[in-house]
Amino acid sequence: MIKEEHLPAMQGLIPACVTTCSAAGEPNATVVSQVWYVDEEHVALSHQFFNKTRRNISENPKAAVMIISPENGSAYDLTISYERTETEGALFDEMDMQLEAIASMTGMSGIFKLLGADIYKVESIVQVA
Amino acid sequence: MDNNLEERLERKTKELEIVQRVAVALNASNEVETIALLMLKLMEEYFDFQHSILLVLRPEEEVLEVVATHGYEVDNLGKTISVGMGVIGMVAKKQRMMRMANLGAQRKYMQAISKNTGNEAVAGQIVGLPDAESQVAIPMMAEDRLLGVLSIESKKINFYNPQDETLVTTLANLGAVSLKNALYLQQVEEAREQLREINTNLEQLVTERTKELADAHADIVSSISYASRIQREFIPRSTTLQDHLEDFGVVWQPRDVVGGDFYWFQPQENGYLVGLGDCTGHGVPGAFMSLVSISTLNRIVRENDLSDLTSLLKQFDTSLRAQLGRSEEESRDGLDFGLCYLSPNEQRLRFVGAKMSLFHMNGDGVNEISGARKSIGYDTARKRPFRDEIEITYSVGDTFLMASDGVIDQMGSETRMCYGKQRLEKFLAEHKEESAQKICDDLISTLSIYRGENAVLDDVTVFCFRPN
Repeated sequence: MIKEEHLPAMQGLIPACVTTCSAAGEPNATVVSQVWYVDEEHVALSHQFFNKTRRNISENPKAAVMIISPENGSAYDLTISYERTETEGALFDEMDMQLEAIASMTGMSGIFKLLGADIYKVESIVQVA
Repeated sequence: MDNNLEERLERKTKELEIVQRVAVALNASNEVETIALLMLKLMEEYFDFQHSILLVLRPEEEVLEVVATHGYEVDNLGKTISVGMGVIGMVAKKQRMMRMANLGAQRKYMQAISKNTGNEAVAGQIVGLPDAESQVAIPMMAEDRLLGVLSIESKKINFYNPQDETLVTTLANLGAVSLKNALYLQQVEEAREQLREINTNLEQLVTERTKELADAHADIVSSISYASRIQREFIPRSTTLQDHLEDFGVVWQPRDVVGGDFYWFQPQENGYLVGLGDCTGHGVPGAFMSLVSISTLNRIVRENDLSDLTSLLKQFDTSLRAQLGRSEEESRDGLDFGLCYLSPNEQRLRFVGAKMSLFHMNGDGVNEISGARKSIGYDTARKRPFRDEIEITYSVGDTFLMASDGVIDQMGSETRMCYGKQRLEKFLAEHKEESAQKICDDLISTLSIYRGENAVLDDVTVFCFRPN
């Protein structure tokens, strides 16, 4: 599903837009710093705060994400579906490490804590630009 | 060959070259700083990695210290960064490689959030570029132990690719070998230093102890020397002997400074008493015994009739045993003793001995007048009898001699046997015409030659006299 040309868009260079929807049909769009590549079928989003995205996902696991490649400006729409949250393991450690490194440089250690790595299954990828 | 393949080949060649050059440097030097600096310079030369830094972990302070930098305007050498702080600190903490592509954006994002949440952002420790965008930091590990961190950084966004990561990882591993060697060398040097210190302390301790021992020895020697003076006071003075004997010779040679041998002389109304004792042991214990013996002898001679020397000897034995037998243990102390009573007017000599002989030399030769086969003192000899005194008449010019065990018991270096009575009698037969003192002196010389390399085993005392 995820191909090599999509990878530059998952390095966190250009923020991504995540759209979710509550059970009642109320949509929410937000910007996240990075969509993490997990494997060809999965991506991950960091879970740092309890916000609308998390609330919506708990009601409705589907989400739409737009990522942009910094190399050529190509934009992709991903339809993803929440599967699980990891709180340990290689992926969680890598995400946590990056967050903590930046937080420590800006004096925000302890405030920015990674609560979990939310794993989504990628259902479709459509290039939109 | 297409361009892509050519590029990859060129890169691989460069990677090999840089690794080879670093490996050569590793073989040539143990200096971490030298090797690290070479690594950083080569990275720029081959791959245009303009800013690089190598830090070594100081585990006790939980910081990383910069030991080599390349491409910075500010001198970062010696600067430290806490483990857990920033990208480098976090790599050290987690002991995992980290590649960041857009640090600037992430910092801004963090600062924006901190404003929104009311938390004030505080700038952390900065070692390297304050406005770096891309960074690859690799932990330098040896046997699961973190030794340092190698980091490259750039002001450009997304500057490093996965191939760069691989190269830096390889170099970091090579650097880790150098660090490990340096660490071992440092440990060896520290151990050597500790050994040196221990050695110095030990030498000092030995010097102190030697001085203490020397002081203690000097004290003891001084004390024994003084004791020797006291013991000599109990030995008859030459002037006293000269008043009664025209021709006499003495040898009093304690093996140590003091000893257990003594000779004894006491004038009487019609003559004089001559005695020679050889007490248990030698050195200080022997000296104590000799003083006790002389005191006891003086007392019993003063208190008893001298008409029966055997009774006198028994009295000496009983009295000494009473003094020494206070403890419940069997007494192992005593002395061999010979006593002569000379009456010059009658040319008469009475002798009684306790394991001591008197040698009588005249024109007929040498005659041994033996004493009893028991000593004075010693519980083990209690039941043996003393012999009755022996009385002889002598002629003017006859010579008499008594000697302690130190003479006949001396081991010879060639014969490996004691000097013995036979040799003594032969010597006396050959020297009986000499003056008494010369007999004594020659006997000591002869004994010394006989002894050779062997040690002196006992005190040596000889009393030789020629009654007027």
